[in-house]
Amino acid sequence: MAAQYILKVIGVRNPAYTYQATAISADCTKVALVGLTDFLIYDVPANLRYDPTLICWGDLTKRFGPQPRSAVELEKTKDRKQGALSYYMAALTNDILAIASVNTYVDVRNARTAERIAYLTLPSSENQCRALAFSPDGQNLAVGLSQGDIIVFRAGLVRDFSGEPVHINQNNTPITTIVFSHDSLLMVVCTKDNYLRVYRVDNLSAGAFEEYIRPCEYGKPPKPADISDISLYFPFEIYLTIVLATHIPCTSSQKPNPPIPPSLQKLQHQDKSPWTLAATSTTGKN
Amino acid sequence: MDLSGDKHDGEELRVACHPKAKDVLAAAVITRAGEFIVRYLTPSANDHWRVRRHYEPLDLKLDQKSGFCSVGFSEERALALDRRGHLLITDFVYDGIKSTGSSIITNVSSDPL
Repeated sequence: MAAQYILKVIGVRNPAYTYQATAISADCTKVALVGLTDFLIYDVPANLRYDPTLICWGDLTKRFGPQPRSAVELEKTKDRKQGALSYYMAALTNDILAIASVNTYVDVRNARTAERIAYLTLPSSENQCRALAFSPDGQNLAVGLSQGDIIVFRAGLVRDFSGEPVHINQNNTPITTIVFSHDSLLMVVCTKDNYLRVYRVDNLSAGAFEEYIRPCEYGKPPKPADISDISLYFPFEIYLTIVLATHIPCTSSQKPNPPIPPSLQKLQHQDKSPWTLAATSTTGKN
Repeated sequence: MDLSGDKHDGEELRVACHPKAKDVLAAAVITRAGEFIVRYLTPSANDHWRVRRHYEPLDLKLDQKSGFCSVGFSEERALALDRRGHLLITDFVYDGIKSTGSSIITNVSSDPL
């Protein structure tokens, strides 16, 4: 079935309000809307027998709860100015919401109560967050920064992300996208120069075990915004395959089999995709 | 509805793949025009990508330069969410007990609730 809902909270948002960021949990049962100073988390029932319901609300201070305060109350509080961050990245698991802003920290909240779990500090204000992703199992939170740094926070036993994070930086190029495979074993990072680097989550400090780059063979040089998103799948359980959504439709000179939609490019080691393996590959096996 | 060879504006903003790709080769896509579509390979004719479109568009006017809408794909559904709070849902309908991945996709319906 196909359905549409408009998630709004009467009394706080006017209908034309635009949130800064959105997030969907890996199991597609929760969604989050992140505004300038607060956020909302909704439950989306799996069977669609009930409409999406608001689970909880929170703001930048310690205030949180099942229902948001009124708009008037928010305006009156001094915290509003103090906490006027420009949130623009959000990631959601079934039980944790992470929000990153242009400032130097990531706010980690309980997705059931909105209570703050952790306040993770990033290196510097000049090294801003550009990508934020949870592994589907919720055990890793990856932050990609504007100076090429990737910081992966581990959830730990009590899931407070207090352990020593893993810090990677391979070429100082701004990170644009980070995604994990559905089994949470691989992490793929896209940088602004159109490199895709593949890491093993259990051995991040070893660096990327594979790299892909998009060559200039379509009459146009790679543009910084070529890759807008990435997703991973394993159709044959052997080869790492990456589906890309690109701003510019790619047309490969080689006709793949089965035919791929113009802008859904498939990367496989054995085919003649418009991408090339940039570094020595060990294996794509999972 | 067979939409193989389907045309859209060609600019895709967000993509998410079905998590059980060995059973189902499918991806949910948000285009820059705000379309929410699911592409999949049919189990019987693996050389044709088929497309299911959601009947309502997302509002992506503010996302043209920086896409902050979201798309998700679980075993049983695909979701899309824009910054205005529009949530589009496509649930995959099972016939009786849970069927195999390939047959799930063929049962995607565009009927409104």
